[in-house]
Amino acid sequence: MPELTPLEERLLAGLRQAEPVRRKRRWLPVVGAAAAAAALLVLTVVRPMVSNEVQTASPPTSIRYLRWVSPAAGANTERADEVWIDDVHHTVRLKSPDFDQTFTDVPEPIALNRPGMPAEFARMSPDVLVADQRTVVAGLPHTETGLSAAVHAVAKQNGEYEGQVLGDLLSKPGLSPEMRQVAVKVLLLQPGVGLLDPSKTHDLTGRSGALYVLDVGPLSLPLVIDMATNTLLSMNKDTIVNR
Amino acid sequence: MNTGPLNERTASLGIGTSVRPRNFRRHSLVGHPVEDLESLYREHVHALLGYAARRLGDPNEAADVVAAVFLAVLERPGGYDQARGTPRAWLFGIAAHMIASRGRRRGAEYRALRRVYGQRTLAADDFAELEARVDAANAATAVLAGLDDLPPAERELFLLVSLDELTPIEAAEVLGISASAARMRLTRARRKLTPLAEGSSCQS
Repeated sequence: MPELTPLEERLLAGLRQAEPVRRKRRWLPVVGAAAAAAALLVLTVVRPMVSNEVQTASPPTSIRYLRWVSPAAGANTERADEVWIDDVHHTVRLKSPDFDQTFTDVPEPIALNRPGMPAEFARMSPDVLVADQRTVVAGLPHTETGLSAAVHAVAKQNGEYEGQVLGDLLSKPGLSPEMRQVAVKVLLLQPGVGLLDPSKTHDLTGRSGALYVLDVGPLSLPLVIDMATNTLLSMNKDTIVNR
Repeated sequence: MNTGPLNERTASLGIGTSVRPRNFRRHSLVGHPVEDLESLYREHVHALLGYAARRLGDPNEAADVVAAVFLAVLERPGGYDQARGTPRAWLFGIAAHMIASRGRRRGAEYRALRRVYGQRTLAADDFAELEARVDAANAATAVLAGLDDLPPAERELFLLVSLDELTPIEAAEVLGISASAARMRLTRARRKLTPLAEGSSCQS
């Protein structure tokens, strides 16, 4: 065995004393804080509508449907801006009276400020396609009381209604079945939520679910929920003037 | 081993005064029950330091990488898989990976020298020792006319075999290529270098 040089001897002496590094998970608090901040931000930005579910369980197909119905400018008519999200094929269709375009391969957020794109889309679903939404929702409390408190804080901070925040939350991808269950339960406990049809309502793709209506402030949100999987199939956001 | 003077020297370096053969001696390599980490270190540290010095050209960085290699071994006992090559090739492979990722991991991972040596930079004598090895490696490669003209893959393979004294199979493992590909590259490199070496010897 070769003789060690003085330097090599010194390194050996140091190695004899070296303790394995206990890896400090310094990223944990950072990720936690970032997730909480991102959750707040997301729920804030997506203010008025947005929808949907996240499917992990079986029955519902991959398409999620969101619709924002608002009065057309100055007229007594209404216009609908729709977002169709296909989680399996990663396509998004944005449809409005003057815009209809399908985007493919959309794990990236869609650029919402392109010319001709209705401004309403910016407030609708595309942000739910952001990949790290999964991280965001993963950081939320998983108990009814914890989630209620978080939702209350977000709603208060953003001047929204709690039901509105919960509707937005249910539209995020990456919600675990447990999280969906808690979120739906909390949502249904909100004042202003009423069950209109327990099972026979169909969304625009023909899937059946329970129809709930959540009246919050100037908004009325008809929600079609698959209660077997606690999946939000579709959500319309109607301004009160539409009704 | 004489640990008395060693204690004094390590204390002066801030390493500590008690040399307790704890973790480093305790671990065994899978498939090499006799070869504990200390004997592994004694067997290969000189070659590893030479390799790191040649690759990095900086004594402090070379010592840092070698310290990081053995710390990695220390922290992952049983990480050696005999089926995947010799311990020498394994250690060189770790070093090669650390050198390759050094730019990305600087700061985050490379505090090894401080942990092992007690300070971030080498003492003057140790620096001089490694610097001499860097110079020797540079001189050795400089006499090989045409070495710089070899493609990087062939050059590195040739140096691993000729300078670091790895077998072609070990060098192949370090570079992550097959043994047959290594032999082919080595043959190509030697074929390119031989006429140049013969030419220079004729001139001299």
